[in-house]
Amino acid sequence: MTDEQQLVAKMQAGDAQAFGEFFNAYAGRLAAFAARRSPLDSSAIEDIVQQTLINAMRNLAQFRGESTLFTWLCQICRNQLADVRRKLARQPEMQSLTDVVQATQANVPVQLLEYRDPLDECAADSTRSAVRRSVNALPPRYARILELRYGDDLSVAEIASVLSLTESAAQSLLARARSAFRDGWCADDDSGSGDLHGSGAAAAENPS
Amino acid sequence: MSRHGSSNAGHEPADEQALRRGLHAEPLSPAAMQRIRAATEAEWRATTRLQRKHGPWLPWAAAAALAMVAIGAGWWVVSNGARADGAVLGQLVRTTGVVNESLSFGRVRPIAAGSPLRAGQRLQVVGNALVDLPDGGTLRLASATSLQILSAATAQLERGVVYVDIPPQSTANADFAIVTDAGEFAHLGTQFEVAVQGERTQLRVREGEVAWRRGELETRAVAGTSLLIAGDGRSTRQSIATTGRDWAWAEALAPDFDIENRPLAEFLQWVARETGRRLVIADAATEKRIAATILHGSIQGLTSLEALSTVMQTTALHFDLLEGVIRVSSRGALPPVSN
Repeated sequence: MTDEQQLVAKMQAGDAQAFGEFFNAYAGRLAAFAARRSPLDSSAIEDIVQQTLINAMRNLAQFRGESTLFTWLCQICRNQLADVRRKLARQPEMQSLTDVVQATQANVPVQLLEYRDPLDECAADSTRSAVRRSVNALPPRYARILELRYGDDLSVAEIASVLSLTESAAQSLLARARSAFRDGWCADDDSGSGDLHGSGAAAAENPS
Repeated sequence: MSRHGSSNAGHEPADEQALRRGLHAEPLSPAAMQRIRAATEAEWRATTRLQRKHGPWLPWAAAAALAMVAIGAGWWVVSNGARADGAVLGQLVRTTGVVNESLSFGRVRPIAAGSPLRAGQRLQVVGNALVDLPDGGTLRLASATSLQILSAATAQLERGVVYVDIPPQSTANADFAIVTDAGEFAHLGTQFEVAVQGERTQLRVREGEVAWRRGELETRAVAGTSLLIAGDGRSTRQSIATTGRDWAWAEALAPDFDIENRPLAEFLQWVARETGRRLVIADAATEKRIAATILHGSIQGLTSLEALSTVMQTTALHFDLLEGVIRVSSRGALPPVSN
């Protein structure tokens, strides 16, 4: 049984300290995960994170350790974001997001080890949009490790733990990801495209 | 900024700087994280309670419980003298859950409504709670808050969210302050909220002014201002709304207002303070009508805005909720109020 499985088991047994550990370790990162993938305001992100964690509590028994706990939470969060986007697209005017979120049924998470998970590109400034577009174009493993390192500000040791890698493997993967990002980013710059020189109106990818 | 080469500004290469900027997400406020925690914890407790109810290990649990009772009884004998008998900070009025006092050996004792809260007590709040301060004012505690009472006028917020409401004219609670790792937040006749989440502390001022003191330094924050203080002491100031959902939890804990034989003017002032709005009277005739109106009945169990709606229906007055304002006017062409 992994540490994360043990943590979940303790939570299922009603251990308040385990709940505290779980919340402190994941809630903030989950909020950042959601915010990077959505142009919604902070109160909507709060609703999404809250609903994600509530759904996670309802489905704790389904976590079997086939992915990391955070990956599992991200999958629930992704479902939540997709639901909100779909509903907002159907009813773009005068729809309370609170109602949308509250009306959402519990999402049973699907455990995925590798996923395509685009960042939202409608960022407030053009550099941010351009970076996110470049990261979105990378293989998922690269995008993931860059997000952990530069978005969540995790150390290489922490990343290794999250991704179940050795530290040297994590370091190597990070170096390759940075190199791939640099290549794509510079190529984008050389082509003169993108928001650095343009209007800054990049469209968000539709997550699937 | 060029995308090529290293940055001149710092030691970090340009691509890493860009990645940090591009992938950075503004964290949610400590108060928002606290709300999420409270909702998640409530769901977790409900879920685990349900699982335990149907669990196959009841006999083992019963045996363990008996063992715990035996051990607990021993501890109780050893540590029964630990109850606080310090100066009274306030009185627990009501809670939507339970307020526990942490005792020695990890024991907790639920505090009953009506009990005094004394210096020396450490409180763990499950569900929101309302505390009356002596000589006016209230302290409102959000779920999952952990608070230690240091004196009759000081409480240390270890985790969670507290809302302090001390009327501007009150002098009895002049020294009241909330202490956190980020420093001391002293009221200057005001309503404000302090939230502690991890290493971050957030002050949000709804009315009046608050002094944030850290060592020899003092910073003031006025109504409509938020100070977000990071673990390293750096602070960010920004403007905030004094109405809206961020204050809803505190409004829901408003103390009961007894309207029987009270002037309408007093009631309107109370609603305005409770909802963080300014009271605006449309004209002199309306002001005269308000001054002449005495209320009867009860608004117990209603939120402040529900109470406003209910009370105003019984008068010849009309109210509008505008941005940060309650505007009261006379309805239609009514005869003037006689003195």
